[in-house]
Amino acid sequence: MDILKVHQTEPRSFRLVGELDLSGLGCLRPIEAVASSPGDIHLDLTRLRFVDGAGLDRLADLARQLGRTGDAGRVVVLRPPRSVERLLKRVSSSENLDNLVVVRLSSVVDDSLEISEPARDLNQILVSDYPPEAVCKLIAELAVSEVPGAESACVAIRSDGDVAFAASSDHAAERVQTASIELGEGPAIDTVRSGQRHLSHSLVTEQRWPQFTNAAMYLGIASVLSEPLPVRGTTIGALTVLSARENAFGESACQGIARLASRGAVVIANAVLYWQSTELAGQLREALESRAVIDQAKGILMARDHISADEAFAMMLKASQRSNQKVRDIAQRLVAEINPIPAEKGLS
Amino acid sequence: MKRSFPADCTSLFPVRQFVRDSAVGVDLRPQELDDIVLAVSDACAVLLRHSLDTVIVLSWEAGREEILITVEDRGEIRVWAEESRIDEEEISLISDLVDDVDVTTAPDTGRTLIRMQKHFGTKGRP
Repeated sequence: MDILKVHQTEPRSFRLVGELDLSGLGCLRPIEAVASSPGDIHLDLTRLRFVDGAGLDRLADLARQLGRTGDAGRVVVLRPPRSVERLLKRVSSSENLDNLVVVRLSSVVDDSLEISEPARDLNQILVSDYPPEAVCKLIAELAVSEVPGAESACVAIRSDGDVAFAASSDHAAERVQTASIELGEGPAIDTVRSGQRHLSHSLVTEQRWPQFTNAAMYLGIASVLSEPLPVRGTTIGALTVLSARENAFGESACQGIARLASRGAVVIANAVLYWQSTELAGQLREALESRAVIDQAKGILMARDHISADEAFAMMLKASQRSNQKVRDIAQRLVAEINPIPAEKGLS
Repeated sequence: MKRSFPADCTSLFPVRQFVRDSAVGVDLRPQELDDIVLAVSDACAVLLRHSLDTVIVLSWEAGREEILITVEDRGEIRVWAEESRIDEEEISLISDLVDDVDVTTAPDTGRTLIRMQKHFGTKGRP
């Protein structure tokens, strides 16, 4: 289960979201890579809920690694939760790691409804750079960072009258979403169908989706908030945030997810349109090019073997079936090898 | 309460969730709960590093002023060797977090049990 997300906010700054334990050490590789060069590293732990002994050791290793670069580089840990702060101070003092610095700021979590930095970034996405799945994943990841209480998130999209999984912030959310779709019930499905927000403060007492609730609780989820993705009066999908805690989503979470969903929906819709258009244009171009090269090849065969256009095409078709290649590829090869094609190596 | 988990590090999160859920209704201070969650998660991690078993079993027993938690494997397919023995250093963090920790390994089967006890309420507070 992917319970830790590491966001690189600047070249040497990272934000850790979720829980850091033995299973998530691999997620720290980008930070370790940076620690091999001198300079401070900033770790924003505002949304890190838990760290275990292995995680602590790895954070201490970063400080040791920086110390070995010969520079006075520090690991500056920003705004850790009290439980994590206590452990960091313990390891820092017991191992004399002077360059492991904990900075506790007065404001722990910024729940304000001001437009956040990543949400602004969403507005600057060029849909030509991201296929729709990547846009959906980005929005799911933004939801984890931006919606207070969210630990993981996923996006479902309306597809041919049904609801399909699009992307998730992590494997846990993907499992919850796919289970919901397989079961045919859950908050995301109802949100897509009704265009209304669905919030469950506690799956323990939830009655609306009994099968989904069982599956989600088995996967460690205790509360769910699903928001419609609206575009011009229709709902194209749902953005869902999940938490292992009951009552994780309050008013600020509802407002935060609504704002992100309304922005995200437009970007997703634009990405879908752009990539559908691009795909269609590509198919048309390919069809035209195929047609041109097949016509050339037909001309070559007609001239060489004194046959009709239909016979030339039938010849290529037969060669295509025999060699399990596309007619276009056969034609292209013929055109490329225009001089001369010996009769015994011909296509018949 | 008793629950089995796959002996895999991806179980650590569900293990912690089990502990958090089990602690609902127990009069623990936030720091005491944090300590227990970390101690149990680390105990499971220690066991996972040493055990070749496919399952770990966690049990939770809450009294009026103390909690007893055990983490164990079944030892059935454990390849027992001296170097696989859990040493003191590995459980030093756990020792700091709970009032009592004890590791026992059955010499015949290799079955390992980590037992942790945490006092709270008037018994655990100065």
